[in-house]
Amino acid sequence: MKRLINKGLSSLKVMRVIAFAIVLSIAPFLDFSEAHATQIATRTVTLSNSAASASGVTYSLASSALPTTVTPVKSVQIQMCTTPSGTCTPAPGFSASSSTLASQPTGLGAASGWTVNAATASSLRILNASNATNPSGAVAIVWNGAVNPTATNTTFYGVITTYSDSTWTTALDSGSVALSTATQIQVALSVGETLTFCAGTSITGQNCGTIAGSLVNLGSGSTTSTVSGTSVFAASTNGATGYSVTVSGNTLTSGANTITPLASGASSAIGTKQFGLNVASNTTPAVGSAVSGTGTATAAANYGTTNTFRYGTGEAVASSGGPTNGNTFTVSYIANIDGLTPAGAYNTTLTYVATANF
Amino acid sequence: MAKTNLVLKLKRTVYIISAAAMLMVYYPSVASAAQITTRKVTIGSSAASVSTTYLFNFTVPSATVIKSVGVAACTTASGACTPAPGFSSAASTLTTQPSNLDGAGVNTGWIVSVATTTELRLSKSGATVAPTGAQSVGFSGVVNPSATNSTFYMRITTYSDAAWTTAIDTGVVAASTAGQITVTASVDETLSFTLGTTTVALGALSTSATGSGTSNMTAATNAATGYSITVAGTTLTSGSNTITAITPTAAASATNTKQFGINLMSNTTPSIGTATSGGGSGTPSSGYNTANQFKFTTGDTVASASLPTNSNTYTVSYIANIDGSTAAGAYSTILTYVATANF
Repeated sequence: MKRLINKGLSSLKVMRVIAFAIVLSIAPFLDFSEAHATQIATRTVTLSNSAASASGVTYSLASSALPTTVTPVKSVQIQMCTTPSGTCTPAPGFSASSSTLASQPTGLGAASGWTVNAATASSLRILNASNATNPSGAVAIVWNGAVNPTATNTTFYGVITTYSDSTWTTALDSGSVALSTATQIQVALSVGETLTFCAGTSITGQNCGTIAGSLVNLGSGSTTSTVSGTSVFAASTNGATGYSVTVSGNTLTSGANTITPLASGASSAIGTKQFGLNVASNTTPAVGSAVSGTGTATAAANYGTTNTFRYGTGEAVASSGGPTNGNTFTVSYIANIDGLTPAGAYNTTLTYVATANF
Repeated sequence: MAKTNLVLKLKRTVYIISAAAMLMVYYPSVASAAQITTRKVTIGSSAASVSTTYLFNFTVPSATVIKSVGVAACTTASGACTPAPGFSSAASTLTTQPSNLDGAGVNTGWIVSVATTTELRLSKSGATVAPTGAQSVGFSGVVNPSATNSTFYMRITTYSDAAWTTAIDTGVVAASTAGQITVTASVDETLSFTLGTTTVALGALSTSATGSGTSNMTAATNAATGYSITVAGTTLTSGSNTITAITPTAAASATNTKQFGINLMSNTTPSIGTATSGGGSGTPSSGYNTANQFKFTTGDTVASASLPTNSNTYTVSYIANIDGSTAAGAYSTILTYVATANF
């Protein structure tokens, strides 16, 4: 019996020894420091790109303040795990192997001397062994060059820990943040060739949907004054080399009688047979408006000079050299007659043609 | 049983291969088409529904021989083509043979097909030379879409066959109809006629000197056959006494003779009057158009123009002579000049 008791006690001792040995053997793997870490109150980690497996991603850690302000921080890490607590299983695919510091962190004490340690692929890490300044104020740490986890639309967790040593061993403060990859949305739009063009006598802005009218009545010709009127046209295009607008038609005509067109361009001369137009704002006579709109089109050289009028069928009156938003041109028409000009109803139909160059 | 399964498998394989072949026949041409560059269409007239010219300029990227070209007029730049309403190629012709479509220079042998009215088409089944440089193709007799101020799209496609089937290159150009502007002005009938003097004093007459004076008048008209100016009134009169009017034939001034006459000339005997001035074509009339010759017949035409005319200013010279028997008195007359335009 005694032998049996002794044998039992001996076995119990052996078991105790074994148990103690087991405890000793796993002690290095137990993170006792975590047990003392204080929770970081406000914390965020912002990703510059949430696409799965994206590389060159910036991870920005921000906290309003660290709770432990009496001990200098000498290292910080964010472990990227599949769970927010417990033993960290690294988020598959995440890699800090090429991570760099975008700039020196703030709020950790020393303003300089912080470097990245990229040896542990699953953790973003920085250290500054010489930091002797206690943390203060808002904390900001920005890593570049990280690679996101491979699973799309999947949550992973960043376990943030500050340490009083430079080997990520003795924890000071900690906190977790939840992160997620996400499917990138591809938005597609095709833009075809465009040319918007309209002509009339009135328009609102450059909106061809509001174009109206087709008749310009210059009134009754006189040997003592110039008669005038206006029409409008508007154009825009995405043509690579823009557009040009030409005008064609006869001069003012009544049967066999005509009002002489200003083929070379000239100012309005009362008492002389003249018909001409331009796309400028004129003072003699007071007619017309400057081109409007945000486009880059301009009047053609022969039709853009104030108080100089011209008419030649087929000539260009306006153009743009590249793709352009809408412009509205006001066409000013003038007519003069001399004493010989036979009585009659003079008219012409002018056609404006826009040609876009793609 | 095994034989039946083998037949079924063979059938299935044949079906799959056939379907794949059909897909390859229908889609490869579009899928492989390259973008035509530097492209534009110049339309002769932008008026809706008019028959006009379409000139296409473009550059094809592929060096494949082109045997047909089609240009569809659509309401959109891409996707299935909805024909632009009103557009018609039914009466289209080639303005000239195209340039650089099969080889360099102006080509020959291209013909138009008008079977598909929503598309401009030309072909040359015998083309053997690849295109070079920049191409141009001009059509006449093309009817514009019917909507005014409306954008439409010309989709250009080149084909390696003559039946517009196997596409080589494609490109789209946007075009637009536009409202036509009608400009009107009226020119009214005009006749301007002014008299510059209301009183002409010839002075105290004598038997040895000629009394004279002038008035002037200005006239212009746009009447097709010009105007005429007549004078009407009596000769110089004092009660029942008169100074004899020179009529019916003009005569020179003669002192010591009872004479009253006028002309519209620059005279030397007496020295009075001025030649007609101004840019018009009006002239003094016969009887009143010879220097130093005077006449006065009531109702006579003294000046006229036969066409529309700018202004002319006429100076009317009046002369009067008396003889020794001429009764003393204050002689006068009121003359009325009337201008009549002939429209």
